[in-house]
Amino acid sequence: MLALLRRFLISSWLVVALLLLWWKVSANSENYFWPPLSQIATQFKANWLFTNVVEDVIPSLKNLAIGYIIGAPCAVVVGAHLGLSEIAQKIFSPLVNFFRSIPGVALVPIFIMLFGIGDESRRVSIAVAVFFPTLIATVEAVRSSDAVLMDVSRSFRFSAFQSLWRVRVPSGAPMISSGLQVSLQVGFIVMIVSEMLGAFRGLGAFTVEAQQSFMIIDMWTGIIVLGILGYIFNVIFELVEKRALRWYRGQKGLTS
Amino acid sequence: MTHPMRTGARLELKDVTKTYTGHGEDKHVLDRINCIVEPGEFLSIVGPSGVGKTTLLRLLTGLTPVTTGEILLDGKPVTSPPEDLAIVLQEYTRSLMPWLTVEKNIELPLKLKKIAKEERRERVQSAIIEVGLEGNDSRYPWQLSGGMQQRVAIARALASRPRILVMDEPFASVDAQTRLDLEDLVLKVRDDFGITTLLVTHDMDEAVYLADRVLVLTGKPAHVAAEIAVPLGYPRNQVETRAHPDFGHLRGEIYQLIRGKR
Amino acid sequence: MRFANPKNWLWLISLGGVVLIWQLVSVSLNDRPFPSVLKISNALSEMLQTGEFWGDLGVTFLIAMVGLIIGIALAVPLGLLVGLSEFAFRSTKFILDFLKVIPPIVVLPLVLLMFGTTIKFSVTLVVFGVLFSVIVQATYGVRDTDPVLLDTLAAFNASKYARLKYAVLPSALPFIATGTKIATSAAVIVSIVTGLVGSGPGLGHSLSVAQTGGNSPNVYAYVVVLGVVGILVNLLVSAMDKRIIFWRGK
Repeated sequence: MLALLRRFLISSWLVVALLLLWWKVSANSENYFWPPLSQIATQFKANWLFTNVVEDVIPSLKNLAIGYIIGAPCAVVVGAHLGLSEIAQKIFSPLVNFFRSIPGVALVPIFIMLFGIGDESRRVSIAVAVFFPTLIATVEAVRSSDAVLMDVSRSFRFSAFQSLWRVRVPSGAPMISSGLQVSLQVGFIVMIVSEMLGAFRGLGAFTVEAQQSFMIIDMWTGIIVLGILGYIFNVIFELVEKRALRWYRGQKGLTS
Repeated sequence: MTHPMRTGARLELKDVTKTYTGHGEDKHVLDRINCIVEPGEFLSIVGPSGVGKTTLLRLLTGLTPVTTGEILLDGKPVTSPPEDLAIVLQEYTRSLMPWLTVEKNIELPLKLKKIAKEERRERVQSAIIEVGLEGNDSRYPWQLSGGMQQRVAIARALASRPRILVMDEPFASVDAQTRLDLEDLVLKVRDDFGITTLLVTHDMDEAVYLADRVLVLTGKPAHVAAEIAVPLGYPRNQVETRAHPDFGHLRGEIYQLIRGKR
Repeated sequence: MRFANPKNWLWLISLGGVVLIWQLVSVSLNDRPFPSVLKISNALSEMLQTGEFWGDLGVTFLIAMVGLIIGIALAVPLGLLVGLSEFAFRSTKFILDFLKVIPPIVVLPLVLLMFGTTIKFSVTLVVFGVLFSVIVQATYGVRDTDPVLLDTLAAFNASKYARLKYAVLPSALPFIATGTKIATSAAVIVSIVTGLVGSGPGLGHSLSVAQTGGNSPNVYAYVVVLGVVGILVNLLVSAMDKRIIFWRGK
């Protein structure tokens, strides 16, 4: 119990100290860019608890969710099949390499051109940007399936489809999962960029609008919300992964 | 516990030759291997390490195609892993699915063969009892010792009701005591089901202790140096059988064959 | 040998397929919003002949490089210091983990406000994008030091400096190299984003100008260029990767 408290104190004292320091130092700040933290906090409460949530947070998250749910599973399905066939890889890998080398954010202007500045262009941008990191990870995961497991699947006469989805994909899940995590981070970035480049609502639009109209305190609150969201998404992803891939950790813990 | 009595399958190798080609030079591994394994028989295949035992196993399980010659299971040519055949491999840590529990590991092949749920459960349970894994159903392979993992692999093989069981160095990576237990387990399985059993091993004692007949492979490319019948009676016993004078003679004979050809 | 094998030319099929489909769609939609392949390639070749383009490309790389160098120069000593002390490591863990996953785009508005659309703005963001992942890698590298090696050195009464030089640094270096590898691709992307979103100098800005000006052949031409830039960076990174693996193997 005491040890737990000690650990908690060690891991959190610096955060508290820095926040207090920020609060104290900025208290009478006249600096244009660094307004008093107390003012930011007050404005944060006014902006985000919970007035603008429906207007700005929900649409952003909805776009991210829709884009991710379309892009990532498609990438797993396409990647799994691509990973199976060496010929298909020879045909497509330079093309895939080219497309994945285009930074996800550079796709945003294209889709704005194609679909206008509505939610569609944002969702498509997110879906496409999310697609490639997961695709690459899945191809690699399926390609590097353990030879012994493949012998086992063959000896039990699993069909190609069965051995793909029952053996190769689950055994490559840790690698696929790290692709999915990168995809989520990329999707989050594209979500913000797509809103910063011409949108009327959403967190990115709010923050950039505040900046352009020199409402520094509002801008700060936008930055803080985005930072916290980015962190929370990562934490949630890792929690889900930890549960889903318990076997992987367990196995590694014993063999290493 | 009553088991439906199964008859073993008959395996026949006719002039089986394997040559690996690639990167300029051909590697001639197996040369005209001939052998007949009768239904219900226990055959051990021994030879010095690197002689091509595992290659032979891969050929007769249909995992790798033969270069020339023919392998017949109950008269039908083997071109891919046949329905009635099950395999247990040496690398138990890699041959089980680490993301599935013991029960699900055993069940998976049955599930993919679309066997009804009731029957699946019954088969899984009886296989678990057969290999002595009661109470470990919901544990994961990596939570078990090496010997236990190999029992899971054997149970998985048995649950598909094979008529021939092929094992590649199945006990090479477990400790000595576990090894003896597993050897006796394999003998019991053969007794209970009457299935044809093939064991590839580099351990001459193990080969003799378990088998009705021992096939000795030597040379490069490997050929059959001898087929030695093992006239030791059943049931076999780790102490008495191994102390039997015939056991020593056979062991010596095989040793001569393997060492002498070097 | 490699080129003689027809299998190594199979990718031409997919390239040809994409070009063909693109052309068909372009023709059937009367050039909008998909300009014909010819128009895009003309735009591209015209672009490649302008000094402006090469200037943009140079600035984009310059920003990435300078940001990368500053970021690593700051991150490595910090990471080593934090990694050497259990207390420092545990105290900063939350903050570092938090900052590591915050993309630079989040703080872009603030930095833009402070520095305007200058190189300083872009470089600062690249530094932000590079810094924390390299710090974290360096701390892990230090903490991965082989305890047996440390004990051995202690048994020889080695000085603190000697322990640092012969045990800690060799352990940390491969981790730092891995961090640098990740940071290199991040740096180029951030450099492009600062232009695209913040109108900072470089390719990103030119892409953004082409899009707002409705010059669609140029937009696609820039995207093709960015893809090629990305491939070059990936090649660089995988070359680094090979070095790292070689090094660890020793």
